[in-house]
Amino acid sequence: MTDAEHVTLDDSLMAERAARDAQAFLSLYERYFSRVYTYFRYRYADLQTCDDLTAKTFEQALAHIAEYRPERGPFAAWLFGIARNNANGHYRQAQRLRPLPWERWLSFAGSDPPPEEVAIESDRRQLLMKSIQELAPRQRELLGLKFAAGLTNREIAGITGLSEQNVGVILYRSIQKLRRQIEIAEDRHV
Amino acid sequence: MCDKQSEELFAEQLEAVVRRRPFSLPDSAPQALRAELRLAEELARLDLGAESTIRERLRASLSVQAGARGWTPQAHPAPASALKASPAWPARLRPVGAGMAVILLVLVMAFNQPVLAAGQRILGYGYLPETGFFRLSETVLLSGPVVQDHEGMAVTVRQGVIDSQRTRLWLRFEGSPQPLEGAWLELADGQRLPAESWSWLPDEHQRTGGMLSFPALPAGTWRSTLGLPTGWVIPVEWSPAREVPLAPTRVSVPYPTNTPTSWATQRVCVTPEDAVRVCVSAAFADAEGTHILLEGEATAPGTQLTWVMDPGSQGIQLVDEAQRVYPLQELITSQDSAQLDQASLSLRFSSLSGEARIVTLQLSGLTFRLSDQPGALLTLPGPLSLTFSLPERQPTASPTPRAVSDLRAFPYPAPTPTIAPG
Repeated sequence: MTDAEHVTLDDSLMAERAARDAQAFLSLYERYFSRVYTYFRYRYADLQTCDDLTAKTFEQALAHIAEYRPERGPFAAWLFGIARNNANGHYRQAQRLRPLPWERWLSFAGSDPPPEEVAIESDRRQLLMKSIQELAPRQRELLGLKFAAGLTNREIAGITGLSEQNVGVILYRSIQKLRRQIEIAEDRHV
Repeated sequence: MCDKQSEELFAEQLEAVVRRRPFSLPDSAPQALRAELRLAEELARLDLGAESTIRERLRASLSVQAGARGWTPQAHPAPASALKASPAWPARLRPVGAGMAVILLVLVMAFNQPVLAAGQRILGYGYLPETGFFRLSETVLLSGPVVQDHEGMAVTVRQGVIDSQRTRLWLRFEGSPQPLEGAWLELADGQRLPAESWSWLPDEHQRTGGMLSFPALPAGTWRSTLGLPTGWVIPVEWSPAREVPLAPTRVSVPYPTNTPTSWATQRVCVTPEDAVRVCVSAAFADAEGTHILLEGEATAPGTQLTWVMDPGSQGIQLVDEAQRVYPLQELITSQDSAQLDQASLSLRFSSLSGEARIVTLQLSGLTFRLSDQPGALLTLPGPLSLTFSLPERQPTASPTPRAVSDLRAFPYPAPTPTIAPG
């Protein structure tokens, strides 16, 4: 059994227990909080939106945890299915709103000036996140499900309704595009 | 190599990258593909959870909601329509209503700090996600979270509770989990309480924190020090639950260094006579050997102790638990070093054996003067012993002095002092 399979099995058992054990649910929360939040950050630049969507996702997961069935798939796929629905619902609402200006997004990066080495990492992260936000919504969604959620292409296909092969192609194209965007941005910077 | 082949190679390697394992490409693979997989590695490591400001609040809220699910009987849920229909609730629903009122109150308490104060006064109960409800009058809480940073890692004491049964501390780790086996809590009088039990949080697999359980601290204990075997020494302050600040400020404390002042809470002392106390205030090991800072203190206020050293005549040695003896190699007094005051001695012994864990500093014939008796040369009775334990040392000697922590006091039979004419 690989590490990933072990974690999946463990999470599924934990999720079954979470239907009757509050502590088990909180353990899952601790395991998945960062992943869920990071997933929303792939989708949205606004931190408040990501906080709200994260809270909504866990509250819904708690409300419906008794409905989770391990035989239907891993807990991560179930949880990120909820997260995706919330992200898509928010996207539909946001269509009616003006997009957040990029300068405003930058202002969310934090008010405290970090140490120099943190600043370098932070610059790189900002560049990365800025470049991700320039991708198409579907590309951002799949990158989030792949890298933040850690789902397999098959699991992503199950959630999104795409074919497994199509997921692979979109991911590859997304990374290609992201690399090119970052290289262009870095060249500009130099 | 065509784009289709690159795409297939990328797909093959991507699962490994997402599981944070290194990718492997043939030499003929294009540079662009390597760059893309490196970018994928970067994305797989991207964790933005720390940006969020809701983690603790959301956890508290979920904890309350999850707890509420346990309190409400699942098999016979109260129909919401019944609650709406009747202004006076039927008797059978009153417990449900009361439960809901408590839940609502708890939710308000969790998110509205001023209301928390009022709620606490009215009910006499507090609530913490870690422990559930507790009686304010019978509980002591951590005054506020304390964080200590060291070499890119951080340990935060984020919550603490003393009740009649035990003392519990909840820790959060950043950087890497810290071993908890051998943790201790030291009281202001030097008494050390080893942890009775501990556990990883949230679990064995993801060790982002831990919970330590100690015996209940004596009533009136407001200050203590948490020590972890890897050298973390964190002051832990307590307050009656009723007085804990509603919005506690996170306090940052420095990681202990080799400076004697940093080890003040870990000193090992003996008081061989009423007028004088002798302490091992710091110890560290480096490639040159084991260094110990010995300090003498006059117990009378305003009285200064000065060592009167004749190195050749002093019996000073270090002995480990296997009775291996490590002779004194160097003795530095205030006359030799501007860093030391008159009451301090810096001792250097040869390097300890790798297995040595508990060592005893043996002193005999130490002589000193007190400023209030300038004409008298005093001699401490000997042999004087100060025993302390050392943490496990790294197998290779480091050129940089490394802190040796976990000094542990052992009882010492107080001998009678002798006074020699000055």
